[in-house]
Amino acid sequence: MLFNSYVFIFVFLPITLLGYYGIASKKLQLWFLFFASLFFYFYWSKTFVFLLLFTVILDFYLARIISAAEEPRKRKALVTISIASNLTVLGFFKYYNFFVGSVNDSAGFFGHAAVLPHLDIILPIGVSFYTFQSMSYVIDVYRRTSSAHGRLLEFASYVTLFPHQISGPLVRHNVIVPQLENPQTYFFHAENFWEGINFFILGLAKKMLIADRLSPPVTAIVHNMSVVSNFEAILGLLGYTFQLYFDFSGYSDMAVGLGKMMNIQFPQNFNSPYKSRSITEFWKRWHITLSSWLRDYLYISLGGNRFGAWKTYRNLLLTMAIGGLWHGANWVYMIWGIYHGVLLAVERLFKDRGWRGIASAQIRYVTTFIAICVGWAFFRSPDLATAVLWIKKCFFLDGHMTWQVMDIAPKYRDRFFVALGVAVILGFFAPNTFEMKHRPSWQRASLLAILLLVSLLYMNEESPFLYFQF
Amino acid sequence: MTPLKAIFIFGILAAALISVVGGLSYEVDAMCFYHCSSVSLERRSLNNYYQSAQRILSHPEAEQIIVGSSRGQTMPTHYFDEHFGLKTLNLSVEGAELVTKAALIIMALQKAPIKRVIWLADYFELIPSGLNSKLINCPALMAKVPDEMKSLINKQRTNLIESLLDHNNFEATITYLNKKPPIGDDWGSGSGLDAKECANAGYHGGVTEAVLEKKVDIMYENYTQEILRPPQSEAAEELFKKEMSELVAKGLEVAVVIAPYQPRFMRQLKAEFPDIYNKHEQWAHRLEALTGPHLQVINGWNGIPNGDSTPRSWNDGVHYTCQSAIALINQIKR
Repeated sequence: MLFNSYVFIFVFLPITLLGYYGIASKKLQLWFLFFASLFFYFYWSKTFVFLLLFTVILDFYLARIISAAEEPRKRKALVTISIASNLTVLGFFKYYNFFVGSVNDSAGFFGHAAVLPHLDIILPIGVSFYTFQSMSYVIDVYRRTSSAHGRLLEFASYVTLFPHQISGPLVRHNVIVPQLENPQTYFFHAENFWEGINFFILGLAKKMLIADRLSPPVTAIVHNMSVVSNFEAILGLLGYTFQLYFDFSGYSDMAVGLGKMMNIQFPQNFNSPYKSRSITEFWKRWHITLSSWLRDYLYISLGGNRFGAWKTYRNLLLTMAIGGLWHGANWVYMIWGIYHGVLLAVERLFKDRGWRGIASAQIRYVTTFIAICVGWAFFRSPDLATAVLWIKKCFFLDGHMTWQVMDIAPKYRDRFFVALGVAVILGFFAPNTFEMKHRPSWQRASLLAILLLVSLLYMNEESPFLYFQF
Repeated sequence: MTPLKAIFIFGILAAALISVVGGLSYEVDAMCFYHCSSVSLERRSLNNYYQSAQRILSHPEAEQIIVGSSRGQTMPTHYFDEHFGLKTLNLSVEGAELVTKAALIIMALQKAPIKRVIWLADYFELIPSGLNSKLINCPALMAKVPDEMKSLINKQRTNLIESLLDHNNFEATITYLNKKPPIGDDWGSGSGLDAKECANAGYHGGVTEAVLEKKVDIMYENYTQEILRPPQSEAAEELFKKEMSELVAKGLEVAVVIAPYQPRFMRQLKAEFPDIYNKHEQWAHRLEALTGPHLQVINGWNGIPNGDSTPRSWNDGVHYTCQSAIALINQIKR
């Protein structure tokens, strides 16, 4: 069930909200929310809901034992079990065939037949998110930065909570569980609900009216990369840059809005990332919950910046490479991660040496944006060759300078250009959803009603959020 | 204003706007989804499947019909009037597949003294997921679909309540209100083409070489990534065979015409998607095997007679020109 579907908006959400606020007892409300979230997952897969529950139960009890244990070796063994089990689940479903493909390709290179069998594996939706969330809880308890939660229901409700279940934000247990334990959460709060409506509809409009209008031409351009003109390649790269932002930040806004409707506050996941003046700043503004997770649980675990400059650069590179691979089982994601890791390391080097680099804020702003776009070429391309060709075409390095626009089908063309224009204005110049003032007024209510209607008009072409695949 | 009041206003406005748009789409019914229980010449609709059905009512004198998809829309019908000595009605419409073609034939047989059916076969016509909402949401057309073919449709029927809020439907409503669409009363796509020019040896086609090259690329992408990807349905193929034998049993002359794609498209398909290419070839052979008394199969998979890869023969990667259409149809025995 997608947030941008009739069944979610007209059936699941109203029933869930009515049930949530209609039940008098806090405990029953939480049970209701838990079962609603399970149903949300169950609607997609009857089988994998048990995998989700297995992860939750295992990590909850492992954390409890770790919390009570004093002996370091025992604690370490238990946290290792948690990490290993989570990574096994993630690794098997997400990376098995990638691993097999790489091994078999290597074997083929040396003249051997395929070594391992390829399996038809379905990736459980949201697995990258819920394994990370659940595992980080056990690590926190192990590190003694958090105590173990007392009740399974609250913890299970946190991991399975439907607004963030499938595609984030990657929320922390110590942010959500205390809210679920607070009785005030379960009372209707009109101000939060109003804000929730604002976030949800603005997110829906970002997805339906911008990201999805940019999507078909971008897809056609990427598939036809060998024949598109230089101008189309540029349009494709710009289009994808904004499509991804409006798709994912739209989803995050909807998740935040749904949380607010139930008095649950989620952290900000995007803070106008294309206004960044460096890649370091970009990663403080883009997918903030993932980058802070990678910082806290990977970069710091690798040593962070505690062992000298070169190890810091190495850790940045490794963190970003692994972060890249987290997005999908394809070398292009890893290359994208390494690319960002290198840029971060170079910026860090400049900072460490006290070099000024580019002085003009405007030029930094432009160069950062171009560097981000180049990264997206790797992220979107099916293979390295397409990415390289895309970049060559964008920078006129392919020996041509062609300007015709034929690969964008006429039926998509007008909407693509309008959506791109609006996206550029909003992405560069407008405040983001968290910066906006959502003051209640009839004008605002009218605007939201119109945005909802127009978004609904496009819902028959519902398309999954890009981050679902990750 | 209090948040509670704002929530209330939002709720009322949203419900009102949704009702107005849904109500307007329902009342105007530009696509003939809600109030069209039968095909009539009184009804104006933007649904080109419905317009195709109206052509049958407009021409009860038709003796020969052509059923096809957009690939059949370059048939110069007046040329075939003379060539076969039969009044030819072209019912080809974009995306038409087995079910649509069968429904249009049933209607034509009920309304006109049809002697020959020219079936322009498409590989995708046996892929049920390609069924068009213009057919499956239109009760007047659905009433003509043979019962045994409804099994191919059932799972795909769009929720009509959802379609009330579909932007395509709403845009059709606005277009309809601005300008009433025409009733389907011509002889079908291609009837406006200059038959003499199409048959002329000096015919050059409608696009330049450079534009054709680009259009081949675009079509190739579209077809290989989407249209030709899903597998054909065995059940659909059986229903196709049954349809052919029933038409022959009714005393009709039937000609099934399999067209190729543009030569570069074909070469690329063979090299890059051998699986799809081989399935096409096998399908063409299976159709050829149906040849029998009163059922002629023209297997043009290997190329259009005297055709080439230039704009003279092709408008893009899959749509042939009217000259190629003549070359293909001329192979049918008179």
